[in-house]
Amino acid sequence: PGSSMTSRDRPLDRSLYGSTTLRAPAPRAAALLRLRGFHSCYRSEKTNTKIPALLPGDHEISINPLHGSRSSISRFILNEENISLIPDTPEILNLSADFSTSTIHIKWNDKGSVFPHHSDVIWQIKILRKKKMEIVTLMTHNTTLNGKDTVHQWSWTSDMPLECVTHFVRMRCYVDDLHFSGHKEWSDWSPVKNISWSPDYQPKVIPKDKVILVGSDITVCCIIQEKVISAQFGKEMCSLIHLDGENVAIKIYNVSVSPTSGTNVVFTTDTNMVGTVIFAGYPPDIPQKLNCETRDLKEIICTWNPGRPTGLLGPHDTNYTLFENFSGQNVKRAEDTTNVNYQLFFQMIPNREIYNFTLKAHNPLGQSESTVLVNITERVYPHTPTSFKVKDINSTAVTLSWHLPGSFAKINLLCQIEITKSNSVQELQNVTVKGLENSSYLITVGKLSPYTNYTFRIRCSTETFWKWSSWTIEKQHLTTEAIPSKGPDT
Amino acid sequence: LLSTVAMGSCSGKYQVLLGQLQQQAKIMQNTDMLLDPYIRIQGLDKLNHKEYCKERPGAFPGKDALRGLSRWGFLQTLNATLGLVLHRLAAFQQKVCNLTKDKDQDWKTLCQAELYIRGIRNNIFCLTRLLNLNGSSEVFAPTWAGPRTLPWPTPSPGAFNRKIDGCKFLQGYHRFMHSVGQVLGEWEEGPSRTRR
Repeated sequence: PGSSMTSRDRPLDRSLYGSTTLRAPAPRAAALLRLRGFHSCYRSEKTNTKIPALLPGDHEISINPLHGSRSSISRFILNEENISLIPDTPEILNLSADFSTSTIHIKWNDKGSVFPHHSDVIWQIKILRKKKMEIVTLMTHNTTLNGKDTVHQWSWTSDMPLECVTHFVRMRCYVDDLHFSGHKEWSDWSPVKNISWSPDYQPKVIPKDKVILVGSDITVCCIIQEKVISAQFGKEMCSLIHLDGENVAIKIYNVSVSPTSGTNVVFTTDTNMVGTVIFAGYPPDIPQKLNCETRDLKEIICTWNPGRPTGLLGPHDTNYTLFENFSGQNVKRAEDTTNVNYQLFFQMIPNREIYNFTLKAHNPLGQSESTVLVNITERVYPHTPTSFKVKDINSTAVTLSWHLPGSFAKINLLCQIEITKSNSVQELQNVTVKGLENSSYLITVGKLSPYTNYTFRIRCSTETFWKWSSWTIEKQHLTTEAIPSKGPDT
Repeated sequence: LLSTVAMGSCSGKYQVLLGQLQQQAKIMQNTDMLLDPYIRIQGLDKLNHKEYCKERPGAFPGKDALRGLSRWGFLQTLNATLGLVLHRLAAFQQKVCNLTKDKDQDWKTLCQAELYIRGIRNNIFCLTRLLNLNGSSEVFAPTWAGPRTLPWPTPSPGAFNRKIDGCKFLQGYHRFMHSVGQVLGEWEEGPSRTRR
């Protein structure tokens, strides 16, 4: 008794790779398949066979059993619409893992060269976990076949460290060939591949000492041979997620900023306590109020405000590097500095006035930067003048002298003298002096009253004003007596 | 001479120095000087830390070992041990002291402990010099047989394990200072007479 073959009952698979597979629903012995119009015959010992892809249009097919009566020949008309397009099972070329970022990388070849024309392809990638192969996620990835073999790569980051439990991957595809009028189906799933690593049997908690962004979720797992009784994240007790064997995990959502020493994550068994520390913080803020100035035109001091605290200290603290973009030079803030001032010192470059600074801030969560362009001769904030002295010239004039460290030979200094007469009248005099190299300066102050108590002090800046230095200490001075205008009235 | 350098002035009176050292040892054996703030800072107070924060055997000299030393050897050993404690504290505090000590009482206490220890070392220097000036026959007696550095293993891997290590270390330190106080309590009155 023949089985009537209707095209509906016997879907023909038009493989992605340009061949058609004819399958008979019931087990049959050897059969001879003949295509009328093509005068081609195919012999098969199985209940299916592959034949070259058919051109669009109707084709008459007859299946003759090699053994058995002629009466059981089956004939039917085959049209593309009766054919199911079932792509071949994809093959994962390479599966690798970056344990530090818990990321899986998958590579596969789409074998597009065997497909006649451009088509959209949907790849479905299934990630499974544990020996029980629980589905973690099912994702789709779209590409286009372009007539040649293309290797694709796709990555997936696990919420759980890859060392916690075995992760498996398999994939399948669906070719959305717009030219094909038949029925299109998904390929079979590829053979499963898994991420492997060499577990050691020391109890441990993963990830170790991870730095994460405040507000993120994190999964922490404990690889251990004995039963875990409890798990704690900081103060919170957490419910256990059971993995393979006695291994367990906990998931913490929306982690808040850690104290300076980080947040302890601890798993306790009857006889042991194992833990790790999670450091939740922020990336460095953009350095604010970046200011670069000099006290002596030899060394530039850049200061800044770090902005929002990152919540990270010690080895995860923010490190700062000051780049001078014209010269390419840079200076770093010492890591182990106990100095909490935010400042860096940059040695001036001879004959260079314009400096283009970029301050880069970096910590494990990110980086930021600020820039400032300065003409350093316009950013002089002199040291406090020293060795300030007052000397008489005569009863109405004195000389003021002081010392000012710094290489000011190429600029003019602007100094301001405060003259207070007998603790009452106060006068400010500005005077411009030619700058010198690490030098003392001398000026004359006249029109004073003879035999009168004065208090003098001085401060300096530059002609292109930026900041006054601090005032010197005050100097009390009594002017000399004037020469009597006439003799004693004897 | 001891490797420590005097920071403050030295009292010339044996009785005063011994009394100060005894008082300092008494203060330093209290866990609220170092261990308790450390435990809170490290977040270990939220755990059943007592079970896992026990002194590591051999980390600090025991009372009998201290009692068996000459006064000179005892002072040498005390000074060397406190030097290691300072080193350990410095490594832990790094620059955090400057950043947080004004905002956090525990950090403040922890950062102050360093000054206390330096004060003890200063008194050790003064007492040693006093013993030396008195031509004490014990000056060149042997010190604690233990190695120059404490037999402290390399820090365990991982921040959490290092926290527990620190806890064990400070537990041992307070016990050591308790033993120091007891031995000092047994010292005779005068500087020149030998201890027993």
